[in-house]
Amino acid sequence: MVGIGLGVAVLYASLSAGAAMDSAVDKAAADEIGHADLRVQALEESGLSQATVDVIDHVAGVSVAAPALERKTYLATSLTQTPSAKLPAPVTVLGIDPVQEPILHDLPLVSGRLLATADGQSALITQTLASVEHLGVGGTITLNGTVASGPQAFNIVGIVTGDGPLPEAEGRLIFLSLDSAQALFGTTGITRVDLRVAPGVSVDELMGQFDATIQTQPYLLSRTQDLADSLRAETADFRVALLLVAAVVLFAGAFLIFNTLSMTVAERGREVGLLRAAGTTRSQVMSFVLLQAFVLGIAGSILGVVWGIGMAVLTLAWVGSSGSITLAAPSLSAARSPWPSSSA
Amino acid sequence: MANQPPVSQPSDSRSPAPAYGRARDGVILEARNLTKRYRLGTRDVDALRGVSLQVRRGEFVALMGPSGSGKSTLLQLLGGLDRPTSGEVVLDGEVVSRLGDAEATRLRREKTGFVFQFFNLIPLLDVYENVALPYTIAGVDPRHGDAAARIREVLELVDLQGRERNRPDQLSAGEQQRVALARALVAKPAILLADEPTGNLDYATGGEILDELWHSCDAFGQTIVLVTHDARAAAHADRVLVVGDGKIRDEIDLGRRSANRDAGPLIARLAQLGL
Repeated sequence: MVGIGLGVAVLYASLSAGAAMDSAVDKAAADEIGHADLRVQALEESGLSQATVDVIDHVAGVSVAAPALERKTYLATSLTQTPSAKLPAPVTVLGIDPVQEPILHDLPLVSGRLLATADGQSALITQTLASVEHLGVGGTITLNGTVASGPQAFNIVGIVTGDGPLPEAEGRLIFLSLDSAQALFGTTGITRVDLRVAPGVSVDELMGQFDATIQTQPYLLSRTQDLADSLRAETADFRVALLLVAAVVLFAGAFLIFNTLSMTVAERGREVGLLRAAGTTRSQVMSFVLLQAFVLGIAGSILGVVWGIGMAVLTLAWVGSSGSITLAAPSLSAARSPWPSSSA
Repeated sequence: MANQPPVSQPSDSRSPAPAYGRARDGVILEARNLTKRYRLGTRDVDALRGVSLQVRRGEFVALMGPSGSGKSTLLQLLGGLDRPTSGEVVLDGEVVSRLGDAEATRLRREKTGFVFQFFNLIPLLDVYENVALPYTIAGVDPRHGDAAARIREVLELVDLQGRERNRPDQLSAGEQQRVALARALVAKPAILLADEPTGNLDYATGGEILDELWHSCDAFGQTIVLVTHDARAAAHADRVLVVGDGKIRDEIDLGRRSANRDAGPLIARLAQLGL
């Protein structure tokens, strides 16, 4: 029974861990792209220029355009307070359009409010960051900017639940208005623009219009499905490994069950012979064996599911803590360039 | 318990057996020119080469012979545990060798009781449950009514009253064999077949088992066929059939002797036969 339980446990853990990862990928994709249909990303390090953003905004068929600037920096306090032997943990700053961003991306709050257009130096932080850095609504968070801008303080007006919508930020995420973020980092560039397609316009049509319209700089164009597929590709190897383990365990478990029952029948040959001598029919003997197998199977399976739940929890905890599997930003799905190739 | 076996009654399909067979007199078991051939690899082995015998009701017959003589094979055929290559076995008026597996199984359940050399008790069952096994297989509740009374009766017969709740691993070898004997007798089989029942017991304990077998035959008219290579065991029988090389080589009539079961005369006779 223990053998059956172990086989079922590993199989259950493999399948449930795989299912959990699929769910996590789907959630990450949903968190990442929200309600957007398309994402235009900068190919150059300087980001999308304002001119490009203006063109995007005015392309026919765009219903909502939410620009964002994403950069990493450090909390100003961390550089002075953290021992020199230990690197401080960076934070991710996401500069957003306070009006457009909430249309395409849900930002559920634990406390406080969302950013407003009239806000000056205001910030939203994630619940995780607030907990780690002991911050709250009404408090202040100071971020390191460029050498020229120096550290800048922002008033915390709201706290977003959990880790926020960027998995790669690992919970250390701060929302600023786009203007504030650009000022902090001394840039006018935009990292990406999330778009919603207008009713009656297909995504493919819009993508075709971009090809014809955006001539200012190269860019990356991603659909929602492309993003989800990219995230799944990140974890594909691990999920395939889990399925392979599940298949091997299933085969081994079936063999183990067969072997165990065969040995049981062989060991109890004398008892079977006695029962037959005493007048038990072949079908009755078969019923005894099958009933025993059924009971062992059910009991072992119940035990295996319980163990499997525990193993799945441990597996997923290890995956989450090891960092070996991260749901990172999408890779290139469709690189566009307005310039003809040099070989032409 | 009454000294005379009860007259057999028509039974429904669920009762384990009619009382000691259908007829009170006459031949209860007959073998007609039995042969049994086994295939071992590329060659055939004739375990039995045309054996014919008759056992009368209430008789105690011993099949005696050296190892490999075919006596255990003969016992299995007589009890319907195996099919002969040719010939017939007639048990209480039914031709066993012509029956299908289901019918042969029914016949074994209703008409025979087996005692084996290695006890063959069910280790997870206690003494009561082991003795009650024939009733359990037949679907009769062994805890109530006639079945319960009969189980208590045979436990007294083998002197195991009070040990009902013990498991086989809590019993001595002799006690285990007595449980096996009680199990074989509980359903009042037409014939009790014992294959080397003392083979795994010490001298004294084996003697106790043989005495109980003889007592069940003498007092209750139980028909017994005993397979043994031990002259002392065979000396308890009314008649000894000497089996050798797959055939009945000789028949020694010892008669029913209530007090003296001395093996001396039998041993002398066997010596004359070169055994």
